[in-house]
Amino acid sequence: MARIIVVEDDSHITRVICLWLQRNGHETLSAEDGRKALDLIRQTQPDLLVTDVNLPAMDGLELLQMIRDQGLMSSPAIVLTSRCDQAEIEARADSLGAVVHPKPFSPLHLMEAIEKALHTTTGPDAPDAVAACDLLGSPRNG
Amino acid sequence: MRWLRRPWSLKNFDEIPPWVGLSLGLLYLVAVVAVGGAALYVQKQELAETQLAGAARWSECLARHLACVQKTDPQSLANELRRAGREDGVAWCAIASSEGRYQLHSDPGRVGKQVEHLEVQPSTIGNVQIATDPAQPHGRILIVRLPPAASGQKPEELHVALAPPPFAWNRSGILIWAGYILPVVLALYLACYRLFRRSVRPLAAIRKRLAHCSQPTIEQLAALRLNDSFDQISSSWNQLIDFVTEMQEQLRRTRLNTDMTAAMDAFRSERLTNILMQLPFGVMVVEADGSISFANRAAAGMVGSAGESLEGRSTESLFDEALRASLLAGPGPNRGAATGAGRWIDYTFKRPHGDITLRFWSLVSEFGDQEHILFMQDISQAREAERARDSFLYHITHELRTPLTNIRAYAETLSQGVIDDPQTIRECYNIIMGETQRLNRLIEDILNVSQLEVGSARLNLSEVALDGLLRKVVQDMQGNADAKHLDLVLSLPAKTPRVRGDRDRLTVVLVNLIGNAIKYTPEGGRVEIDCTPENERLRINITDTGIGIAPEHQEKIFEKFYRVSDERVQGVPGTGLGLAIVRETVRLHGGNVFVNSTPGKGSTFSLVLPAQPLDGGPADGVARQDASTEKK
Repeated sequence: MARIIVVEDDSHITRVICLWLQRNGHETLSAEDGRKALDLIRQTQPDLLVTDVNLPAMDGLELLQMIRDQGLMSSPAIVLTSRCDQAEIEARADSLGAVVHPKPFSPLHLMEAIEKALHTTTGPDAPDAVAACDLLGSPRNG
Repeated sequence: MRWLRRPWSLKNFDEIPPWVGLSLGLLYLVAVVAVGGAALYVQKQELAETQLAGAARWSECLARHLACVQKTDPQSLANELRRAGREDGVAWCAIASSEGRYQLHSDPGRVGKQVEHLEVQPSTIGNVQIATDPAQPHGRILIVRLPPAASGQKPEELHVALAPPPFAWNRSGILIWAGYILPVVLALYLACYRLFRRSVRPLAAIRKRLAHCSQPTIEQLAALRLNDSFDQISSSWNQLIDFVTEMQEQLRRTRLNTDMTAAMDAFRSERLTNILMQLPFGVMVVEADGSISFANRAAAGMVGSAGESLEGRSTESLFDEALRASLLAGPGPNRGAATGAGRWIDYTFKRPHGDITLRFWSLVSEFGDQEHILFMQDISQAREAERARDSFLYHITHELRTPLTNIRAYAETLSQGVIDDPQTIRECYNIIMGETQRLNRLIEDILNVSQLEVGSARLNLSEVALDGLLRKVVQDMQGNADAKHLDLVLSLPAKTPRVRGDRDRLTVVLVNLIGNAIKYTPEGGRVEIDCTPENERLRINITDTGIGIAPEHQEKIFEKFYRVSDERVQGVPGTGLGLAIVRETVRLHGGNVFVNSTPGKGSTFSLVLPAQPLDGGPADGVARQDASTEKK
């Protein structure tokens, strides 16, 4: 079981990822934008980050860069994107130790990727704080 | 001879002044008379001298005879003297004594008379003296001294008076004159006349014709020809005229051709220059020294000198050194990008009213020495269109993938049996349905834009009550406004004029404008919709307290696919199609849409539509439903 943070401005996507993660027995956290995500990561120190690239205020890769710069997380991250400039994103993600998953994605494949990424981690400490993902109540942005 | 066969040809002094011929004739006549007269006079003088000499010898003989008679028979002396006095040509004879009296005289009446005073001429013929007869003006008296009859006797003189010859035409002289001299002189005259006429007449004719033809035309040259072609001068003259005529004709043709060619060249040149000047592409000719020798209007406009003449200016004032080096270098492999159409260089100029990107084609002229021809195309709009298209693709991809992602994810979730809770399963279905509708709206937008772009959009016209429509749209958008804690306020007049239009398309317009106002207004803000009738128009103002739009973007936001490259805008989902649809739809209705905005404070979008006049009074005068806020 791991603590996984999902950063996505589309609440429906956040909700479906959380559903799958919870079904696989993981603890989920969610944030709508980069700033909230950073705060949450500082507070909860999750094991894995799943983030969209297009986010308000700060994009997902900038968030990851800040996480790496501040040493908040060292585990691999999963980057979701619907943008057409995937090659550029993949290059940036690769340099930040992240795997890119293009949208639309298969939740099943995403879960496999997440499991794989969790197994490659050095085994962070078990999460001591759990923030339940607000499955139905978060407002939809956009 | 022709002139003999046609004697009247003598009158053909037409080209020579008549007085020349007449004077010539008169001169000849005087000469003929003078020569004839002189000949006669000389002949007569010679004859008189001959007669005088004969008479002198006869007188000497007579004197000797009388001396003999006087010695032998003094009585018959008088008879001899009288007989001698009757000889032809002798007027009288007499013997004058030394006392000056006539002792004997052939005229008995004059015996003893005093001898008249005689004027003796100095010349003598032998012993004969000649004296003038005082009684006869042309008479001569020959004086011969008689030998003295006895010694101591004074010598006597024999006077013989010659009868003056009667003045009469010498017959032979007249015959000579008339028979020889006159025909010869006449013939000479005629020959001279003929020769003179033949030589002078063409010259006179030429002079007469040339008098009025200093610069003759071809027709006048033909009139200068002479008819007497048998004459050498006329023939040569006519050949000369023919030659000049031919030369003039050739000159005329050549000049005509040259004039036509020059006119055509000028026409073509002017036409081509006009075409070049009006080309939408910039054309500039740059000399080897970097000076501009030609630039059309488009070129001047592109380099920021619209309305000015660039000719004579240096390219240094227009292009920086690197660009000049690239443009004006000789043809080579590294002169910018190359395609089948040639080589080009794209260059962006910084301008106060926005950057401009020009694409240059540079050719080395085939005509000039190191002369370059620059073709310029303003590709700013093309670049902008490319940017807008890229931006559109970027956003449309994102926008299409987002609902697709949801649909796929939730469909897979349902199909994999991840959820057992019936309520959640229902919600998942609803999400799929909602995302399907979202996808559909997006496709509708794209289709709308496409229709408006190609002009195939058709309005389904009807009488639309905008107050009702506004209420409905505001009601539909209320949820979005509430989600952001915005005040959504609608103000309507007591009576709102109807608008003839397409209800569905007008709904899209209002949804887009109010939706944008909500999207770009931060939480806690306010969006007001205000409807005002103005004469035969209806104005709808949608005012928000949102992020606002910078002036440079205010016109461009109505262009298709245009989205302001601002973080606050890019973070909001959108395709850049909404306002393009709004403007095209409103224009299709005969109205227009404007924006008035202050960045950071908010924007007001004004929609003006043609409206039907209200019955019963001016629209502006109606009482407003103040604070008719419809907040649902």
